Amino acid sequence: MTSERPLFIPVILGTTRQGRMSLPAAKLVSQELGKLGGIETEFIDIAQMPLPTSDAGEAIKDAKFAASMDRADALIIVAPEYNHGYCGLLKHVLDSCLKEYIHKAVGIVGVSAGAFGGARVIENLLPVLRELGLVTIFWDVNFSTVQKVFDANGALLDSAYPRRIEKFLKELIWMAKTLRYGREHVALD
Amino acid sequence: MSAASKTMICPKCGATMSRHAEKLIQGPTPKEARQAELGLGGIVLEMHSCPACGANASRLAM
Repeated sequence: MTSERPLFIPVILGTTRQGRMSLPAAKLVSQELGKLGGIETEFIDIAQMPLPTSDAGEAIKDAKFAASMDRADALIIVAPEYNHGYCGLLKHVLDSCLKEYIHKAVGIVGVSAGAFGGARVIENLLPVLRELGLVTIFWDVNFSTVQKVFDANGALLDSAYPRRIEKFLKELIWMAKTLRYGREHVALD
Repeated sequence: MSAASKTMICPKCGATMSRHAEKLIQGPTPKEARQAELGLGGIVLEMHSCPACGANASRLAM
């Protein structure tokens, strides 16, 4: 099961909050992903997207974001935990597409200032991603007490993370390859 | 041959696409609601992907 086309795996930074510590976490994951062969990626910061609130769902679809989702073989969502949930604007963005996601892999990176590393935001995202037609993987990355993981300039202080991210990416890439093959070669009936 | 089993031709490269999913879309727009299958509670989109170039396409399942 080989393909000459590289996998396309965008990283979505799912918060618009000023001073967000999810930014260095997302940059680190993106950097580790970029080291791998056969992968193309894109850094999508929802804070840089047009997010109209006069409507919702596919009515506010952004053409550039939709094109990236359509091209994607898998997604990485970096989600900070706010009051045990995800950023509302992340949901607003995700809801703007649907058919673009079907039978594609998704991995979640949870980020929190507390000890649980975004475990609750990850659990809360799972049913949403399932309904969007995405296929979640069983590896996550959990950035606990994120203010201690990176310094004020965003430099990594904890050397354990690259290895954890590597495990997460391996599983995501396996799922992305498998689902691409399935989409393109395994008919529903 | 039923409409649902008709093949879709890739709009980008002309290859025959693979019909890999049917997705129920709940909460459709008023226009879509008129096309909805009442028994399923929404409209059903069928998803197609191209084995040659990777393009994706969808259409209403019938």
